[in-house]
Amino acid sequence: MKGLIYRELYLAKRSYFTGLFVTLAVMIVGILVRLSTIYGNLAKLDEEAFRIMDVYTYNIFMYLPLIAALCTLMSDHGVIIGDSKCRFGVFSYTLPVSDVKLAAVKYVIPIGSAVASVGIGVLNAAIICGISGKSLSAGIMKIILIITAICVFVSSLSIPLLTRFKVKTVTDALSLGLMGIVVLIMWLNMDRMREWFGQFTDENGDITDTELLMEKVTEKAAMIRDIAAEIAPFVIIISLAAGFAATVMLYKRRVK
Amino acid sequence: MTEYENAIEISGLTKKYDTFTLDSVSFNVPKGSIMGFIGQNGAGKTTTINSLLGIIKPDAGTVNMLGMNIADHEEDIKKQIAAVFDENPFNDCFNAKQVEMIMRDIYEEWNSEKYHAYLEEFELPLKKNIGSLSKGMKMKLQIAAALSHNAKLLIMDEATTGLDPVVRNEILDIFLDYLQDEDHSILMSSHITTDLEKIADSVTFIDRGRITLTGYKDDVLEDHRVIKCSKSDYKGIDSEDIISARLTDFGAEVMIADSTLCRTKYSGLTADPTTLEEIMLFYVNRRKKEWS
Repeated sequence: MKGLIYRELYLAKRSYFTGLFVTLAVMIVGILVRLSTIYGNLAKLDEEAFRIMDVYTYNIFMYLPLIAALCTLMSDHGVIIGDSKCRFGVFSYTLPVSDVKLAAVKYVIPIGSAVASVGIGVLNAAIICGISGKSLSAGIMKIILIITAICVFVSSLSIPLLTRFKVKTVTDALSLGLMGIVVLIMWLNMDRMREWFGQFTDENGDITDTELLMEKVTEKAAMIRDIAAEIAPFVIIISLAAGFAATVMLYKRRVK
Repeated sequence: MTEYENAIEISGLTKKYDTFTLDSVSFNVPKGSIMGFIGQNGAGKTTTINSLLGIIKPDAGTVNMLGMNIADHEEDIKKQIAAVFDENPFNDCFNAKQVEMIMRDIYEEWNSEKYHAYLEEFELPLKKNIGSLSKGMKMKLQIAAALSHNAKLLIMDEATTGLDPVVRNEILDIFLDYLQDEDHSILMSSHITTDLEKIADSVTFIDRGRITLTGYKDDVLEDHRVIKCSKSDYKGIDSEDIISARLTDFGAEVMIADSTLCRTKYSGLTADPTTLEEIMLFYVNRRKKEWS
């Protein structure tokens, strides 16, 4: 199996280096922007503008490197498509390697990438917190877990889809489909959301109490975050297990 | 180690597709021999070989290789066989050294010294990307990898297609050398019948998913004759004796599958020895009976 894993790593090395470069670039930019926000030019903005900048840069650059790492390191499935073009996919059936091992090879690297991405994400979060004079809270770790679970879910489904259909459009369709589901959920709950926001707006739709609204939104977000964080480990385990089982099944099915 | 007489035993192998059916294919490859598996494009050679190698799942039939049933001992069998295809299965960005890094971990009996010896013999560079090698060199690299893990059985699917005669000849010599060990066997599919005439011990013809003929090559060639005669003489030949007949403006060429019959029943007609290519042509056209 080591030989096959070496093969996967070698074939994807360019995209891994690119992904790592992008992630580090985003991390460095984020650190510099936070430093500027606390100690530099951005700290000289007026109170309202500074408050907005502080919140946005803190939250965006807290998680952007993690998202960059997960999206670039986990999502390269070009090897699977390439296997079908160079006949290695067919050749691999002639090797004394079980279907389970063939499938496992496809998951070892994405799982390793996910672990490395989380490591990068936690390190970045610690740095951003340090610069901002805050501690690395449980809330931050929960969001890191939620983002990781979403990416692992998408990647786990992508592998069997690519193994079956051998074209990248299926993963694009998967991502679009998932976003569509989120939009649909929001649309179905539009009335309820409108009613809830109505507590904080006047008859013209203007916000009457921004502080209270932000407090309530933060409370709601924290509640959703806590629930999502409870579910996240199960999403990771179940999506990996289901994706792996589907991939093994596809290998067992053989070429039609 | 399992004792066995035939390196490959296929019985009733069937695979159905929408427009093609591999219909109850049965034949054996004796241990220590090379069998040429002949048929025109689309006859079912690749489907048969893919079924042997576990690339596709047949709908019916049994396959035994090296004395073991593939359904029960797939991994054990695959440790002892090697497949060679018409196209290089390794990505073009790899070189010979990296191919070894991949393969030596997969095969317990990988022999690095043997591999490097083959690379030297075939004059293959160790660190040049596969993509920049010629077609012949890519095939030799595939063969070097196939011969470096003590495989008892080589299965080749159109491995010499598209190669020039010089390279094909070199590769055939490699196979003859491989067969010096009587534990080694080869199943080689091809539509280049001249290659198989050179090295095959036995041949199996497949046409439209069915086996039309199987046997020792020399016997097959000896049994079949082509009678070249006029059209009037052709009318005197029993249609039951004819495989098929190629009619021209000047006469007829008639294939008979029994040379003794040619000598006795049609002694007045000229019966020439034939080639595997001619046998393939005449058998492919046997449904039409007469063709041109």
